[in-house]
Amino acid sequence: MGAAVVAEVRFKDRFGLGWRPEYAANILMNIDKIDIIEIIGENFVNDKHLTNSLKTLATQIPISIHCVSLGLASSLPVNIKRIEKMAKLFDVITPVSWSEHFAFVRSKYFEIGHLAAPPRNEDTIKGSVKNINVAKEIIGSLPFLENIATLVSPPCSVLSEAQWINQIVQKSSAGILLDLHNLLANSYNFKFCPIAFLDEINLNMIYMIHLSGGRYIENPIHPEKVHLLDDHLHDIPEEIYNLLTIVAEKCPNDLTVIIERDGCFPSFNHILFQLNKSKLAIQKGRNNAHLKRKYEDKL
Amino acid sequence: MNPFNLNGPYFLLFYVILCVLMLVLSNVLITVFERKLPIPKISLKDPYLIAYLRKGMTEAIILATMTLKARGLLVEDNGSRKLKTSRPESVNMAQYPIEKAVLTVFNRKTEAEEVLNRKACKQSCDDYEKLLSENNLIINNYIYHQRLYRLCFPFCIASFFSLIRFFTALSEGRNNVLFLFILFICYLGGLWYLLSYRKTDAGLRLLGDLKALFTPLYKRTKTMPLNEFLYEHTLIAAVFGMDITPSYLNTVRHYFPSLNRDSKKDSSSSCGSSCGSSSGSGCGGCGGCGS
Repeated sequence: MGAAVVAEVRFKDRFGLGWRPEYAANILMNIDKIDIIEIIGENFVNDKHLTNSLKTLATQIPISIHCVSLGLASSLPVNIKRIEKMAKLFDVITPVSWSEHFAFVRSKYFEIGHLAAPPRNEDTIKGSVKNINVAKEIIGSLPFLENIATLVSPPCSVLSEAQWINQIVQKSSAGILLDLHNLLANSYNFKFCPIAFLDEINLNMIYMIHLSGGRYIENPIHPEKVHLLDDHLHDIPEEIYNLLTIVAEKCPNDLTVIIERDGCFPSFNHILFQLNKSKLAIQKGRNNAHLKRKYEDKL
Repeated sequence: MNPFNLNGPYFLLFYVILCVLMLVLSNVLITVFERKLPIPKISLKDPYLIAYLRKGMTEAIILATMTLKARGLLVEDNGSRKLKTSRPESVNMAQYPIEKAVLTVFNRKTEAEEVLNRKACKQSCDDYEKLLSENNLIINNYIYHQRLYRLCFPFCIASFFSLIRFFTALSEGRNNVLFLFILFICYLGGLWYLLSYRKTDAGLRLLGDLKALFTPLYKRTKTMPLNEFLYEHTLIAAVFGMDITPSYLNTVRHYFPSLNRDSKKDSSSSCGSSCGSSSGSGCGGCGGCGS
């Protein structure tokens, strides 16, 4: 009990949800059970009334802005007009943080339409760092960058994902938003151990966590192969909570944990149940770390 | 050109234009001041507070009555417009003081509209009035005096022209000043409307923001059964009005026939300019490029 109390006081972890209109009413009703809301920036930036409505939302709860269309992780220069447009949100509210992805979304000539994993090499590291610095100058703060799930191993890669991410964050000082289901999906699809990934990645730079669910799909060309798809339409699997405990044990930072659900919406009570489960997972990890320190001190 | 030299009809036209301009100026002066009022940090969990802000006590009480009926805490008496509590202990299941006051009214079989006349129900809204007033979302003494101060100049301008013309006409032996008098009264009525308008700009902005945030949910209300999504319906009704779905509107019309509620034909008309284009989508899952 004493260990739990000390662990709790030391960290100021926050737990929240992605803002979805389906849950808008329930989020307002249960605002005291949620610490933070994450909005998708692109959903608000194109409509002046929605942009302004963030002022009211921000009076109710802290907000983090999550972007999906900037495509910072690329050897190509980022589209400055897109960043300037997104920066309008920052004129309206002061979010707690903002985030993007370790992904590119466009080439010089066309929009891909979703997040794509870039080759993990020196060119994309340099390009990413440059783009992150441009974004920082326009918006005024560094983003957290999220690892993405991919069904295709990016060609021309010479580094592992963890090595590549570590180099980008080291050179840019941006933080990491660790999406645990993306990690789980990649580890399943590319046959590596997610715990080994956690050992390799720089846990000191992790500040945010995303939790979500997915489903198994058949490879359309090789039906005997099964892939894990991160679709945000399913409940958080148990392995994610275990990974969350491991991260909480090893990460020295206060963590912001966000549950993402984009469809097949269960009851809001079920979402709150998953939020509470994530709190317990974090607490377990913090307690483990505290006990470990305590015994190491004794030795 | 001296407007006082204008002939009767031309002067009246000039005066109409002057009054319209002064009313616009008054509105601008008030809006500029009230635009600086921040949207306060107040809890928006209570849907009846939002309904009270939007349309006052009657709206909040009717919404509470309809919500309690949807929850099954109030039941109809044999097809009449009388309601009563479904169980003696229903009043203990009230979540807000206004609900408790409404349930107390219907402890005995009572006409639904009677709830609007009961003192306890009106008093249950006193806290809403106090909270909204203290946060400058509805008019209070401070707002009233600030508006009055800003209406002085437009009032004086229009009064000056009307009084000079009035006395000039009388001194020339003409007494055809009735239209001028009527126009001046209408102008005073316009100023009075601006002076006493219940919601402040901050209150209007708060409601506009709520409409923008909840428009995607509003558009889904037809696919959301009332008994499964009661809180959503209550909140939407508070933000947009009880004419959200025909069934809700028909219920209000049935129990409160004297209020003559009309349905809004489509959702965009009640959203006004606050309708958002948000699809509400998330990242969509980082599914990757596929194989």
